[in-house]
Amino acid sequence: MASYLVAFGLELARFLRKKNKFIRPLIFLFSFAGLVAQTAYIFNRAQETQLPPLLSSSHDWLIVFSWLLVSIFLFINLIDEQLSIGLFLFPLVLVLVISSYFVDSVTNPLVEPAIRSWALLHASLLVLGGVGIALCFVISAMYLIQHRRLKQKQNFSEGFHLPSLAKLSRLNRGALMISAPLLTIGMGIGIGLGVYVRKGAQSISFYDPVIIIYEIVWAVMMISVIFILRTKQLNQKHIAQLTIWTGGLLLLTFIGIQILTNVRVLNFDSWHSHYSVPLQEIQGESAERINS
Amino acid sequence: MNLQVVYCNHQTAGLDIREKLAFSSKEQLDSAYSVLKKSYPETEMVVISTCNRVELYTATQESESGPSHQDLAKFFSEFHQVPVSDFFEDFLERTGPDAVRHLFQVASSLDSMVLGEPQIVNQVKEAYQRATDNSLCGPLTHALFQQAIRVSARVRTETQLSEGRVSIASVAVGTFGKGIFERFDNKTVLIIGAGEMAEETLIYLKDEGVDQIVVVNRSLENAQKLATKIGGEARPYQDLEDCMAKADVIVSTTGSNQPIVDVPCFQRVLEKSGNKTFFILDLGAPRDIDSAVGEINDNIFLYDIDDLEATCEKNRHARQKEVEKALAIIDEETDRFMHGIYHRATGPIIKQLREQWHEVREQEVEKLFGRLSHLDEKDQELIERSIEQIVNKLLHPPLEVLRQEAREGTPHGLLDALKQLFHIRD
Repeated sequence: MASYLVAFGLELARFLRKKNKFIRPLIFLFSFAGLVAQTAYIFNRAQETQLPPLLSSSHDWLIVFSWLLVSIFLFINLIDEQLSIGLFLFPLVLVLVISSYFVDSVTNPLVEPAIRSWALLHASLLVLGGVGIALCFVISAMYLIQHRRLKQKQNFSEGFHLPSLAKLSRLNRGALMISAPLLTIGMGIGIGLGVYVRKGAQSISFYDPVIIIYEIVWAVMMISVIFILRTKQLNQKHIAQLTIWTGGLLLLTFIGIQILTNVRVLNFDSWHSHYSVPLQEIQGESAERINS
Repeated sequence: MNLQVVYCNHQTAGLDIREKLAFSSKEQLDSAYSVLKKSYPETEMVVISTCNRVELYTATQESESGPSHQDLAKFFSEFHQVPVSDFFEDFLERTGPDAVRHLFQVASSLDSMVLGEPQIVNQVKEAYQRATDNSLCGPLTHALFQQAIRVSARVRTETQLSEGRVSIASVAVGTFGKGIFERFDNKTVLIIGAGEMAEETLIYLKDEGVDQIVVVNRSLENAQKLATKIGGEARPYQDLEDCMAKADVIVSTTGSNQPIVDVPCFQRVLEKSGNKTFFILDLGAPRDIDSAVGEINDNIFLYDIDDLEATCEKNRHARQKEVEKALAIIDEETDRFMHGIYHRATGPIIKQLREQWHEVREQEVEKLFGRLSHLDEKDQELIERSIEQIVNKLLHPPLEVLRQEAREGTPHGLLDALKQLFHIRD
């Protein structure tokens, strides 16, 4: 997390017109160092739990989410070194990493070997869809800032570069087109898994509040996507605003519900929060992780 | 060594004088080089001739040889058939470190009309290449111009002198247009009127790939003239609204006293075009397009001349702030260059003097040891070291004085004296 904090600080320095030829390589170096450390952590966790990182716990799921965002940042940085995407992505990455400390790291008891492949597919599609939505959120934020600058006839500072409105709306549309089906399929597989698990010894309910909230937010997002696709000549600024709201809501729900259920602000007995695990145990683990 | 520049530029002389003294073609410059070469065969020379400056750099190994300020003024006068009295007051001279500093400032665009403009360094490179092709460059001018190009790169990297666009057309296209559209090669540009600013803007748009250009003017004849010149299509004025509906970029530069496009007019355009993005440049003064047009919807981006000029001014101001930083770099680089040059001048003399004295020492020591054959190896070594120290101590004061003098410039007098006193040959 320290590496990402430094990289974000350097991005801020670049934004504030601190021209220095070392800033960009340093941003890359710190992000890369953070990514390497995170990769090692994910690898160790997978070995400890004997499960792929996405399946072991919500903690690992969020860590993988942030890992993917940093990888995307590094990739974009290699293609376009001027683009100020780090200013938008790093806060998200930091939120995800910090949030991961507050969610449980207990292995999900529902992931039995028979359904492991499907569960992995379910978690992978959701994390990829989530990354897509996070990108839509970032792209839309960039669009609104660029639009505001152009309307107000202002110049950005030398260290701040954003793509054109046309490119941003194309990218936003693309990211939305990819992430919506991923989330839909991921969610469908999740429901299928629920049905399968219910047939076994586990007693789980389809009235799981976490699932219900996810489904509502997903439905809101799908309605927005269909609206964007079907409406001819829709104002691009409105698309960006709509994406910011729905994407933001989805991300907030993804992360927020997990934190709230894990710290027991919400007393949900959910498939995705291990309410059966004693609270002290979870708090003890969180404290241990923060210390480490 | 002697470095000199004679010049007139946009700060010292009017355009009429600069035009008279400029070398307008490569052939003319080659011919000038050939005259200069005949007159001053020992002198290295480089001419920089652009619309804003005419500069002639000269360098000689000997301080006395080479043309003077008056000689070069006479050359310009004879070559261009202009009386010396017409330009001599504006025809300045700088020598030594000042000449070096001047070139570094020119190459770094500190001396340009548009501060920080990037073309000048290419013009300096071309001038240096031309002089090299004419065999007029030597060790001094090679070192000087190569260093100037490096200094220019350093200034560009370490300061923000070249950042931010400062011309109306470049701000319009680079700062705003490229923020709206991803590409221009599939865009239609509509030119309303025939102002010069439209042509300048078109240069930038064409650089971005625009090739569909429509010209509309109250006079179809003028529209056709401009269309032929810029490779576009002329349309009658009554088609204006249709043309606007089809266009993505609208550049208006009419001389109209009142706006020619108001909100109702543009709303009719929108009915035909649908909800597409418009990038509108109103370069007319007074305005051609009612400013309220820009408020009709989120997809209309309207910029008038004041908006663009405000951005240019902001960028110019930002560049101005960087001048001191750039000057500090140039001073540092000038000192470094001059030290290198002086060291180059004194280095061989110091080396020869040392070698000569140590040769004498070795000869005398050999003679002495021949006579004192009873000395053992240890004694011989002691004697040898002692004599070597005497020679070094004797050499130290004159060489130290030479080094100190070299910090201020090439110590020609001292070097000549040393050469004569100790029979040092070049």
